[in-house]
Amino acid sequence: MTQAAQDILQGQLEIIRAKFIALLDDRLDELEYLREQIEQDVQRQKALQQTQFIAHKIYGSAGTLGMTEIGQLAAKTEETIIHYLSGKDSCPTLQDTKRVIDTFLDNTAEASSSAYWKSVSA
Amino acid sequence: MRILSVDDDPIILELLTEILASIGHTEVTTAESAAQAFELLKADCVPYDCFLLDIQMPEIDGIQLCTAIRSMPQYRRAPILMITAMSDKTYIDKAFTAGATDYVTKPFDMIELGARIRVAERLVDAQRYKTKKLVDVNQHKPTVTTEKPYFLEDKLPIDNVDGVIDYIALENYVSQLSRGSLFGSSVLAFHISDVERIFKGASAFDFECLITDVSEAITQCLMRSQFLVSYAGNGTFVCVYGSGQKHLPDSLESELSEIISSMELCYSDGRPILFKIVAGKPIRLTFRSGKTVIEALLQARSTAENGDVEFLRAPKKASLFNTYIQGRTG
Repeated sequence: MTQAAQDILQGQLEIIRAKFIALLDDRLDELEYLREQIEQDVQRQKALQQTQFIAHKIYGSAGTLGMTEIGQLAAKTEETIIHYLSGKDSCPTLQDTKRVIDTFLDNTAEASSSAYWKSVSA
Repeated sequence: MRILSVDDDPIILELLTEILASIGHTEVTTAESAAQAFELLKADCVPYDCFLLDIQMPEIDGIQLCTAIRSMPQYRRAPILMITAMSDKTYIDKAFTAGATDYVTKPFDMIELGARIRVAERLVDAQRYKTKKLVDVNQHKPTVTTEKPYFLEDKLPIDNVDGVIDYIALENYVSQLSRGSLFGSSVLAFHISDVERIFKGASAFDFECLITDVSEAITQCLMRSQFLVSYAGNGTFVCVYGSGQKHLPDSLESELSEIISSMELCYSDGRPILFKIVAGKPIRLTFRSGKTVIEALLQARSTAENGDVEFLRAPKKASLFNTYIQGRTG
């Protein structure tokens, strides 16, 4: 890849990164709503599946856009939910699963807000 | 190269479009669902050259979409690259069985993505060349029907046999899987002895039928385990089979002979095709990766092809698997 192409790509990636951060805000709202649903026995399974799906999406794009920490937390969340839902002997407890989701939510909210302010001040 | 990218995440689609543009591919169309992709495929008069499909999508997933695209005659040979953030080998196995050529992982490594796209581009170029050659042969149709638009060594594609994939896809599959994912998997090759004689005497149609029928017999035998089969050219088939299965059952050999016998293969003019099938030595893929795993494929092919030579020299020591097959195709 030529230097010029690389510069253009970097510029475009910055634009996509800003869009990702804006979208992350909406996704966080959805994740917080789902987190409440997880507390309810009837809604739990579906809410966990949806949480897993959103975490999967975040994992896919966060890493490519240089937001490695969010990407890794999303991957851990997805993996933990998959194991929990598998119901196997070695699967994590509900408490452990909720703890992983909470860590993901807290860190993502923090990273999202700091990334937002960075992009505004840039 | 006209590319269709399908992913339900608009951010991924934008990323792909920009990354592809940066390596010179600007003819990229995007779809956010399989349904939208179908609409585009119906509407577009100029066919796409290559596809990038996300595996995990709601409603119709990427694997189902891959199967649907492969069933369209104009896309039988088009490179289909699956996009996955899932490390689960089962999804990757399913994707290759559905006809995927290769896969890329999310988050994207731009260098890796560029390399996979270049491989796809080479496939598209090779396919264009083959199509041109085929048209040339058909335009100057010879009176001798045994002339073929390919060589014996060519890794002919086999269509419509479940679990049979192109050789390049098999190479991509094993070379990209991690050491851990290949744990317990083995590779085994089968070779049609005296294939040069059969190739010389057969029409292109007869030879393609033979290769397809033998591959079908192999897949029937391997049905009980997870497997992928590919035709490696020169009358040799390579199979990568299931994790945890240390040995194939002894009955597999006689089973395969019986299935092929029951097919009663023959040339178009009714002469029976006489041949033997030789099985090579199974080679375990555990603790191999990258180049060494490709070497294992070559090694497996070599044991099957050399086994044949040994058999011809010393028939009494031949494997039980060497069986005369008679019959007819077509």
